[in-house]
Amino acid sequence: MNYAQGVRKEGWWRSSAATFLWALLLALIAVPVLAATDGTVIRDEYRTFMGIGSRQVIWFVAEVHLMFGAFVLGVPIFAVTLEAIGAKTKDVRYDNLAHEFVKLLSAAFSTTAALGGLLAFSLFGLYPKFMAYMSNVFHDVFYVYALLFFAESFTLYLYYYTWDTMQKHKWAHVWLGVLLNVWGIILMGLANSWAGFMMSPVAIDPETNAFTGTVSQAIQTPLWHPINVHRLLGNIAFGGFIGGAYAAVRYLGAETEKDKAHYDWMGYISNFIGVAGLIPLPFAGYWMGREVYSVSSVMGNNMMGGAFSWTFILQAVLVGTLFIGSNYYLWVGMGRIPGAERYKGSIKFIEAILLICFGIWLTPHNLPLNPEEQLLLGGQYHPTFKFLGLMSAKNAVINFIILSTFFSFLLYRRGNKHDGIPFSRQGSKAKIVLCSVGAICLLVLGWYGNFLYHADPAMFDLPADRAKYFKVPAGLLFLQMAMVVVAIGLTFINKGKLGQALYLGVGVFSIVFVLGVYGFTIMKVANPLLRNIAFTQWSMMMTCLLLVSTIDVYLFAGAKEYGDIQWGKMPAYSQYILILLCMAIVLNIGLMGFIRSGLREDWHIYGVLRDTSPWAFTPTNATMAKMVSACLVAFLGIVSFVFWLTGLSKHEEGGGSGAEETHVVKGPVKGPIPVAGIAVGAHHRSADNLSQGLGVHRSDRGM
Amino acid sequence: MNEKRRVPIFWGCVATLVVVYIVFKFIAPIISMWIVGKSVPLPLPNALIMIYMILAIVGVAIFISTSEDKMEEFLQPILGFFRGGQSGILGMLRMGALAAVPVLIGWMVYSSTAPSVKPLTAIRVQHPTIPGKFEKMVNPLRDPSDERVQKWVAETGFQGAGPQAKTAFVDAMIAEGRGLFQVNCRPCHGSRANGNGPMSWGLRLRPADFTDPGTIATVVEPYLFWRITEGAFGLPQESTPWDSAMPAWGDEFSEEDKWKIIMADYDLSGAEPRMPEKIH
Repeated sequence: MNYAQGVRKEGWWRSSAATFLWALLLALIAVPVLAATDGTVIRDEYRTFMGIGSRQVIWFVAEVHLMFGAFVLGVPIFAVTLEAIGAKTKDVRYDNLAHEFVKLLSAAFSTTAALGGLLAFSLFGLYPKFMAYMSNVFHDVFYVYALLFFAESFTLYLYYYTWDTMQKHKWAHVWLGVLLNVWGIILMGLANSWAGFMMSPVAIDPETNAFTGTVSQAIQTPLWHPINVHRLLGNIAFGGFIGGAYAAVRYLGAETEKDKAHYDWMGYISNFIGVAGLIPLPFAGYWMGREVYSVSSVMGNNMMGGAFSWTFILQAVLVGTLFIGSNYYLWVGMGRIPGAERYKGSIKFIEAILLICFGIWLTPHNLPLNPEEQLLLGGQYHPTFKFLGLMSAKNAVINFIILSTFFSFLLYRRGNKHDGIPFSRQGSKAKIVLCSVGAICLLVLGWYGNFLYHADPAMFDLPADRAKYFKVPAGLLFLQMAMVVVAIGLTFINKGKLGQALYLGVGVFSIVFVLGVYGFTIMKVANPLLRNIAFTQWSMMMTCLLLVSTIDVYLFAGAKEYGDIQWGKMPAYSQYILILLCMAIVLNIGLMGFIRSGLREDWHIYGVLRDTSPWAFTPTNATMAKMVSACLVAFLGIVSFVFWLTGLSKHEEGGGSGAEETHVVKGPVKGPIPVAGIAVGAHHRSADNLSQGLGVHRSDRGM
Repeated sequence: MNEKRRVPIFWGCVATLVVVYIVFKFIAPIISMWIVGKSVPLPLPNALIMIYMILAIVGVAIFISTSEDKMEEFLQPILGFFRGGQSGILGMLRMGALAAVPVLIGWMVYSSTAPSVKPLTAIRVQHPTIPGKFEKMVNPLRDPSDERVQKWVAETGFQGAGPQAKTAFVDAMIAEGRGLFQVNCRPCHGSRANGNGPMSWGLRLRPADFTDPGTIATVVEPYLFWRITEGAFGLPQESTPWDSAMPAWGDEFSEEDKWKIIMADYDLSGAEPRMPEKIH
C-alpha cells in the first residue's frame, strides 16, 4: 500500500467514524427520551447552554448543518449527471469534473454528519419537551433515518473510491451514483417531514393536542412535498454556486495556464448548474407559499404581507443578485469566445430588461415613507407604483428575468459558431427529436389550456359568473400551442432562428405583458385563480426553454467555429462574481430558513405545542441579518477548511492540483475515456497520449 | 473613413444616471398624476428613488465592466483629468476635485451622526398577524345553512325556495350590510369603499382603498372581522408603526352585522374575499 492509499484509507475511517458516531448517539439519545414520554416526567421544558439563548444555539447549528446538508445532497445530483454526460459523450472532462465534485463531497459529508449529531444533541438537550413530542411521533422514522444514513455513507464512499477501478464498468458506476441520490433524496424527505409536521401538523386530538395518527400521516403533511421540491431544487442551485466559488478560488490561485483553463471551465459549468437549479425555484417557492397559506391564513399573511414581508424584500434582492450576477459572468465570459463580439451589442438590452425587472421585483407594495411623503400621497400606497408590489407583477417579472437569462445563455452558446447544417439536411433523428419535444410542449399547454377552458369556477369557490376569467389564460395557452407548430414548421424550412424569435416573442408577450397585467384583475375578482395564472406563466416559460433550446441544438449542429473558447482567459474580477454568487445563495438559504421557521411564531408545532420559552418572539430583521451572516462566515470558514484539507491530500497523493497532467481544453473530446493510464474504448492508447493529442484535462488519480 | 460617431462611455453613463434620476424624481410623479387624475404630482418616496438609483449605478458598473475595453474607455477621462499639474484652470479644478473627496466624506459622516429633526422613514407591516381565535372563523352568511335561509324566508315572507331563496338571502344580507356601512363606515371609508370618505381628509394616514387589489382582496373574511372588532387598539405590537384611526367596534355590532358589513365591503369595492385555500 503506498502513501496515497494510506491517506485515502484514513480518510475513509475518519469520515465513516463520524457517521457511525452520529447515528449511534442519535439512537442513544432517542431511547431515554422515548422512555420519558412513556411516563417519566420531563422536569425542564427548556435549558440553556453556557448562558446563550437556546434558540440562538439551535438556529446557528441547524442552519450551518442545513447548509452542509444542501451541499452534500445537491452535489451528487449534478455530479452523477456530469459523469453520465462524460460516459455518453466520451468527453473525459466531464468525468474528471464529476470526480472533483465528488471529492469535495466526500470531505464535506463527515462534517455534515458531525453537525447533524451536534444538532441532535442540542435539540434533545435544550428543548427536551419539544423533542419528547417529536420523538413520540417520529421515533420509527429516526431509526430509518439512521439506517439510511449508513446506506448513504457506504454508497458515497463506494462511489468515490471505486471511481478509477470501475472505469471499465462506467454505467454501473453511474447507477451507483444514482443510488446515492436515491438515498440522499429519501433522507432529505424524512428530515423535511419533521419540518412539515411542525408547520402543518395532522391527526391531532383537539382536546389533548396528542398525536393520534400513524407515522405515514405524520410524514405526509400538506407541506411535505412543497418543502421537498423547494429544497431539492435549492440544493442543486446551492451546490452549483458553491462549486463555482471553489473553482473561482482555485482559478485565482492557479499557477499554470492549464489549471486556469480547467478551473475556468469548472466555474462555467458550476454557474450553469446553479442557474439551472435556480430557474424553477421561484415557481416552487410560489407553490410552497400558496400551500403555507392553505394551511393557515395567519402564516400566509405573516409571510407575504406581515412580519416577514420585509424579509421577502431582502430575499428579492438576493434572488435578483443571483440572476444578474450569473448573467454578468456569462457576458464577461463572452470576451474569451472568438466571434461572440457579434452579440455584445445585445448585452445592454438584456441588462436593461434585467434591471427594470429587478427594480419591479424588489419594489414593496407598502412603501417606506416618512410622514411628509405620507401626507403628500394621502396614504401608505403610491397610486401607481403600488401595483409593482403585488404578486402579479412579481410573477411577470421573474419569468421575464428567467427568459432573459436563458437568452444570455443562447448568445453565449452560439458565440463562436457559424450557422450549422440546414435542418432540412439533417437526419431523421433531428426531426424525430424536434417533433417529440414539440409534442411534449403541445401536451402540456393543451392539457392545461383545456383544463382552464372547461374549469368550473365552483372548483375555486368562485361564483359561476367568474368563468369568463378562465378564458384569457386558456386562450393564451392555445395561442402558444399554435406557436409551437409555427416554430417547428419554420425550423423544418430552415428558418429556425425566426421560429425561435417568434416563439420567445409571443411567449414573453403573453407571460409578461398580458398575464402580468391581467393578474391584477384576477387578484381582485377571482383571487384563487391567481395560482393558475402563475402556473400558466410557468408552463409557457418552460416550453420556451425546452423548445427554443432544442431548435438551437439543431440550428448549430455541425457548425464551424470562429475559434476555440479560450478557457483560462477570464479577468480576475469575473471570479469574484462567482464568489459573490456563492455568498448570495448562502445568505438566501439562511434567510429563507428564518422565514420558514419563523412563520410558526410562538409555536414549536403550529397550533399544537406552544413555545413558552423566553425566546418565543419573532426576531427583528437586524437580528436575523446578524445571525445569518454569522452562519455564512461559519459555513464558508468550515467549508474552506475542509476543501483545503482535500487539497492537502491531493498534494500528498500526486502533487500539484492536477497541473502535471492537465492540458488546455480545446473543445469537446469525442474519444475514449482514459483510465489510469489505459484508454478504454476502441483505441487503446495511453491516457497521456490521448490527453496530449486531444487536449484533455486529466486530474491526478494516484493509484 | 466614415466611422459612426458615438457618445463616449463615460459621458453616456453619466447621462444615463441623470436621466434615470429625472425620470423617477420628476417625470414619474407627473405621469402618476395624469393616470389617477389628480391635480398635483405624486412624488415617489425618497427611499424608493434611492433603491432605483442604486440599481442604476449597479447597472452602469456592470455595463462598463463586461469588457476591459469598455472599462479602459470609461476610466480614460477620469484618469486624464486627474493626471497633470496644478497650474491653470484645469489644475485648479483638479485640486478642487481632490479636495472635494474628503469634504464629501466628512459631510456624509456629519449628516449621518448630527442630531436632526427630519422625520423618520418608516417601514410598515401591511397585514399584521391575525390572532389565532379569529383565523378559523367562517362567515355564516356567505354560504348560509338551509335552516338559516328558511328562518329568513319565514321572517320576510319571501316567495321562493331552494337556491333562489339562498341567493335572495345573500343579496338581502349584502343590502343590509350596505346600509350599515353607509351609516357607520362611509364617513371614513367613502361611499364606494375607496378610502375617500369626507372624514378621511382629516386623517394623517387615510383609510385603505378597498378597491386596490392589494388590500381586502388579499385577505380572508375573518381578517376584516378582526379589524372591525378590535380596530387600531387591537393591533399587535410588531405591526407598529401603524397609524390607524380605526375604531374598535367590539360589541357595537352583533357578530352577524359585522359579517354583513364585510360582505358589503367586498360588494362595494368590487373585490372578492380571499378564500381559505384548499390544500393541494
